[in-house]
Amino acid sequence: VEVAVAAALMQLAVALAAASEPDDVARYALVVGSNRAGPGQEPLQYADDDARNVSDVLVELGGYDEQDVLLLLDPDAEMLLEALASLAERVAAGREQDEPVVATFYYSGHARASALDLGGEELPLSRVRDALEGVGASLTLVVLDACQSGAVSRSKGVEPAEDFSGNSVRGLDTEGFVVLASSSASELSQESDDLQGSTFTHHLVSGLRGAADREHDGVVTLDEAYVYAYDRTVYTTAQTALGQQHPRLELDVVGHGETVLTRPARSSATLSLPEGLAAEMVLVRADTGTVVAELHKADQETLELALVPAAYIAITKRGDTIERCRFVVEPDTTTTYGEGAQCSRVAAGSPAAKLARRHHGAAFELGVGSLRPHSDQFVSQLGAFGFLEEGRPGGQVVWEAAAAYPLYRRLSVVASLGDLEERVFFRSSLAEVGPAKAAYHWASARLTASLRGSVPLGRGRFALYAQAGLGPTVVTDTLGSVRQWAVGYHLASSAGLQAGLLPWLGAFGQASATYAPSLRNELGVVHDLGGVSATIGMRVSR
Amino acid sequence: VRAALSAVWLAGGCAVSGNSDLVKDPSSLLAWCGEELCGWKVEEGSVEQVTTWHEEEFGAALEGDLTALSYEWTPPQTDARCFEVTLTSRRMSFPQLEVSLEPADEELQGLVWSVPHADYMLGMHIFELDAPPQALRIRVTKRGGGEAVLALLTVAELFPLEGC
Repeated sequence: VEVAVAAALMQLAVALAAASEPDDVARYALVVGSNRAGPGQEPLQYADDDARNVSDVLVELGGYDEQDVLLLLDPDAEMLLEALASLAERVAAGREQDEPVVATFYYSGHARASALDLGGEELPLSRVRDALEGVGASLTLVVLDACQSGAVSRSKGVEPAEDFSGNSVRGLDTEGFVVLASSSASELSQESDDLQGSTFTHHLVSGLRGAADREHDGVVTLDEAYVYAYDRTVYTTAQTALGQQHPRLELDVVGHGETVLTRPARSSATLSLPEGLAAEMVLVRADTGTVVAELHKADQETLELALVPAAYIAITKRGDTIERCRFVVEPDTTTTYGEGAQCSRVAAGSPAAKLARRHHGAAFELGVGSLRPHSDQFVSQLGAFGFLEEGRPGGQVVWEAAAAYPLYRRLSVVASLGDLEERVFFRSSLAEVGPAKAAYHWASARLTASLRGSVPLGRGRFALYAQAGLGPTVVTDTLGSVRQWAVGYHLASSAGLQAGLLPWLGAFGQASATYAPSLRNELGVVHDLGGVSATIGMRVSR
Repeated sequence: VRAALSAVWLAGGCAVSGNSDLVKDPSSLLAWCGEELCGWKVEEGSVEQVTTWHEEEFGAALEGDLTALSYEWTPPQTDARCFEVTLTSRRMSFPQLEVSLEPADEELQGLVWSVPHADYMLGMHIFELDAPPQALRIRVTKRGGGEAVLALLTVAELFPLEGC
């Protein structure tokens, strides 16, 4: 279990700017992410990242001091209850100053019908509810992005939100209690490898960064954030196999006007999307590959997004045109989109294909390795005819060039070209044969079509993959000056690990086994040109 | 005829000899001059050139019920009395195949190796004469129906420390 205050996750300048909010409201937050799976569940990939992103946006734009946001990752039940008690103590301290206090509780992780799943432990929602009721804030904001793993892997269950809100909102005091839940009672919530996070939290954070500011007044209210997260979540999940997910908002707030959640206009670094730009847009941090916003920009509006100063890549779709721009958001500056950006057009395709290509483009791989070839009857028979093999300690060097194209999130088709076995044999005696037939050697190459399945690890930085395929083999063998050609087939299988170094550059290592019965002698004996090999290489993705 | 000391069949890919320090200059005797075996005298029956493992690699097919051919070979060094013969052959049906070493010296007895059946595997036999010969006649004899193909035949002097 990792406990971390959010201080390390954002830049000091941004925090100081956000901390200088003019209102006299004290804000405290407990932000929890739990990737851990209980019995029968699959570990989540992005719940911790969701929590980090929420923590970041609260500090950067929500007016929360760094020390007042407690980021709790993969806790057990006892630790979560202790953190809730700590939240209550801090709220109580704030109220002693006669200040209005806002308390926020965010949770992303697995859940079952009436409990949060924290690894092997279940924490009943009633205990969480009781704890939050006891916090005593002027306004308590609860955001639940709760997951339940059942027949569908890494799906998020709705029952916790429904159960929690139904039992808590109506029973709390009149100061104010808000529950924002990731889905309705009959739906599943989803994580997305494309977004590298929960679909709901991703859009909620995008909205809080400014995409939800419909009034263009520089602040994002609870209503705006909810409407934006609702629309984008429904739109995104409608394109998935699990179907639509409808976030819920339940309010019990008395005596308050609009509840401001973030103030993007006060950010030290903003990206301005001007009028005249109408596009579906995805913003990705160039250094980490993290998708920071996915939004629809209307023609007649101006939109300002508060961003961490960094280099970004924007992919925009306008009609049939897809454009990729790279630009830098400087500190203490408003960067207007399109000014000083390096842009290039990318090929257009069907809408569904674009969704996949945007985040999982084609990749090109180049590798080199060592092959341990087979020794079979063909080879041993050469010894009987007076040949000795040239020694090759450490195996044979082989190369491979491949192109991978995604078919689905975790499934790609791979076309690869590489060499197979190359061997050299010399006569053991030349006395009566002469040099004309002194050597016999062959070389071979293959073209392979494979299907590759991969599993992301380490927040998408790594991926385990396995692939299998087949294709044609070409071999040429030479005895003295007599050269022959033959064509055959081969079967190949590989497993390996990819590591991302940059958003567009990675490395990989893989082990392979190949069966290629393509070299036949006049006696009908066939040689397998394959073998087992280990390869390392680089991978460039678009 | 003195019995051979040893006869070993080796899977191909093993070396021609088990101890290269003791074997000198193995000579391959099956070479072709056109469609005739270079240096060989066909004493009985007939010999035809046939392809073996490669379309440019030839073997000698011994046809007829009795086929005999011989090769006069002078050892490069005169003090060797042990000789290692290797043979790769194939036989259809089960004709008998023999390789004999017949010294030119009248006082020395010749030796015979009855070649086991095998399908293009490397066979090796060591002949031990009583004394170093001045010259040798290497004779290959096939008896009985069915064809025998000789693909590789080498002979080498052996200089063991004791015996062969």
